[in-house]
Amino acid sequence: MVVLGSGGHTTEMLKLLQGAPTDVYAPLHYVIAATDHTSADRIPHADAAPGSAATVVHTVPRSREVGQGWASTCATTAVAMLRCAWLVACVRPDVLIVNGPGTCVPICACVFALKVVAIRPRAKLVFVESFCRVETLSLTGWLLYPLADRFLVHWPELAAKYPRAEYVGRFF
Amino acid sequence: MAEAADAAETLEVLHEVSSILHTGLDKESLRVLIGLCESGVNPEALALVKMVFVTVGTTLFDELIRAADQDDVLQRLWQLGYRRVLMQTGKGAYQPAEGDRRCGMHVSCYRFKPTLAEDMARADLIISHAGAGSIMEALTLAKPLVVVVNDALMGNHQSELARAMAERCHALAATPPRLARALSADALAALRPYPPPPRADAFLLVLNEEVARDG
Repeated sequence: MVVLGSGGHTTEMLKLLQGAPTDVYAPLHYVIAATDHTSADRIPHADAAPGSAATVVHTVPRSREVGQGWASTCATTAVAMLRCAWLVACVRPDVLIVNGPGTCVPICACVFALKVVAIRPRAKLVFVESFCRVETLSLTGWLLYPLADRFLVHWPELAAKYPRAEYVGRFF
Repeated sequence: MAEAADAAETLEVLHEVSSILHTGLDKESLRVLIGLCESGVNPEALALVKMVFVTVGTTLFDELIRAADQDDVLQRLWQLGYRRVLMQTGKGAYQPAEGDRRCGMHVSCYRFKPTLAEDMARADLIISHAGAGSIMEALTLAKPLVVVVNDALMGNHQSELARAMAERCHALAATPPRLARALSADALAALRPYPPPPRADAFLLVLNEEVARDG
């Protein structure tokens, strides 16, 4: 299961997954925010073989739109959390790949919860920090630092600062 | 009358040819170029005019456009051999005066295009905001790149990427007030291309490990 963000996050994630053998990672579940109208069109193979379950696209509501007030944010966050929990419970991914958009935090929390209650104890959470981050972690990175099974970064500077962060060579 | 119709038709055909060849020239530029050639300018000299592309992407970054529009920056670019500046100004309020300028540079601008790839590819120097997408696009094209960090943004993590690229000599880093100073022939000559990663599938290898461990 892969969480796409918007704009730059999507670009980076699709670049990371370029050339991924679809048969090995089938079924590949993509999660996008409901108001993100551009990411869906950029997913490879999304409409390649109708009827095949190799690539599945799910949409979840965003917990907060840019500029949304705080009172209504609480309500939309609750709805978003429930939808994410339902999605994760249905799909029960073996590996969750995220690279830091806000949308991914509740999904990571749900997958982690499945691990804790031993429904999916071997599920793996792979986090890739944004390419822009050379010296400091993003807020999402900071939140997921203790939860991720693999915490990958693009720059050796970050790996030197954070012991759990791994620099395995350049991705881009 | 018939002559004007002929000229219009010729321009139409040339524009079609030029779009097939992806020159990125609009009709107006083509008309000017044809005019120059007709009055005896060597077309090869026109092809050698070096162009600077300034881009803010989808961000609001008036300070960059304003800085690039200053006489000291335009003069510096002229000294470096560039004769044309094309600015993508995005949603900013500041619009540079277009046309030929006192310092010998020709300035033109537009706000948005569906893709900036053509202008990036045509440029001989790219002056860009510090977004990862624009930086990577310019470096992948192996263009000399000046990354201008928006120092007005609070807690701006974009400066991290600009600094990392500058330390590794893949780009020059600047802020709007320091743009003219950053544009030096020596610094530009010291730039090294950004090589593609040694393994394009480095991430997939990690992923394979995890999937195998799971299985």
